[in-house]
Amino acid sequence: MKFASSENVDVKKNIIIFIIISLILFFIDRSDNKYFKVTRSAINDGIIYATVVLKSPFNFISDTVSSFNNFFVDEKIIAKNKLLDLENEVTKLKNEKITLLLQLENLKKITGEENYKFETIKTKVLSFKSNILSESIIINKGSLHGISSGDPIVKNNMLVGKITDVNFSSSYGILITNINSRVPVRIGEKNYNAIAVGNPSNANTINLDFLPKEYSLNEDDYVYTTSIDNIMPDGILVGQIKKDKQDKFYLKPMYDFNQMDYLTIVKMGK
Amino acid sequence: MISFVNRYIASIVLLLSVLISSFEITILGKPISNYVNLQLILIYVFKISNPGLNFGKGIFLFLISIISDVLNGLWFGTSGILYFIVFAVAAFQASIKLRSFFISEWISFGVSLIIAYCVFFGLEFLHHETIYKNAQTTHNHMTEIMPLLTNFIITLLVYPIFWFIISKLVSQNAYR
Repeated sequence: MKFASSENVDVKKNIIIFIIISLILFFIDRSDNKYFKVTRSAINDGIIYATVVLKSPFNFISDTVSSFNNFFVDEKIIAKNKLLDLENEVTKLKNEKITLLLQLENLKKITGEENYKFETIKTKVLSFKSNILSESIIINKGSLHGISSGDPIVKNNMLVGKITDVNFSSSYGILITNINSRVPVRIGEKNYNAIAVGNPSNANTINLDFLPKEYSLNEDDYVYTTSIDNIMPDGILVGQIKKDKQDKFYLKPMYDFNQMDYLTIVKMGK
Repeated sequence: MISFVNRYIASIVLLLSVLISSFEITILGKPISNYVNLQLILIYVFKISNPGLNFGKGIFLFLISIISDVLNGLWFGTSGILYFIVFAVAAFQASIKLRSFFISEWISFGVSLIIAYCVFFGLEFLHHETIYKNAQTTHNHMTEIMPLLTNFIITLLVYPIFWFIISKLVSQNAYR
């Protein structure tokens, strides 16, 4: 039989032990040890798929609630919403057509069909996670499917993000709006090179770093990836140049980050 | 079953908060987890409102921290260090008090958050040093301070709500 005070001593001892274990784990993980990497991949896969299973009842409840709510919504509102959705879809398709034509012309001029020489693989997004500093996704494909760290994540030839860490059958990716994201891009018809960096103060905009000393950008110029050092395939659409209230240029991503169910990974084969 | 849930309510609620935080509820276009660190509040409030509660002598807390690291794509141990810093401050505060005094608990929660966020900033610094050591781009750490500061202030301000809910309604039966 233990007294309350002895249990408290145990807990204090355990707190110190677990802080030390956490620090050791942190530094081992940081050191990129290859044996630990294998263990880590196995643990990651196990926890990720267990979480998907554990979360399924909550997903079911959330889907049921939303369908229950829809049941009581006025039919006129439903029809109006559908009309709005269709209008949005038409606008989106028109935009896509314009961007694809522009992109095709640009690709022909500069890199031919380089965009298509890489193999792609379709994946499902298992989880979208956002914490203080980073927005990341977990997908259901990993090293067993040929995915490697740094591979770009795309959808409809628009850049969504890139893979940061690979497990056996799942991988982590960050979005291009993430403050840790760095993407080499070229801008507009003049093909200025720059680095697109996530903006921490506004989740839906991207900053442009390393622009030339003298540049003249036009609003609505399209921004594409560029294949410097073979980090990214050339010609994936990233976004459009916009001006803020202080007449400062920024990059607005083309992709709607609310639609993240299925995505495509371009295998760079590193 | 009910008594099991009652006994392990703190660990269960903390685990659920880690799992459910991937359902994005947005405020002003940003997910709620950008504003509030729910897990740190839960650990502190559960420990303060029931000093006998130890998250299975810290073992459950450690396991939940590993799950959190995996789901957030953080290095192993990152969440563990933060969780145990807050837990240690809460355990200390719970052991020195004779009776519950809300303001002093709130202030010591603020102190534990400051320590935890300073450590988190340091760990993030190491993370970026590793990621960008070979890259040709620069990384401005100052850009990370504002989101952390916002998160710190809102987490501190939200604390009384959780304190009221947990200390008055939930935590009376939990002792693990």
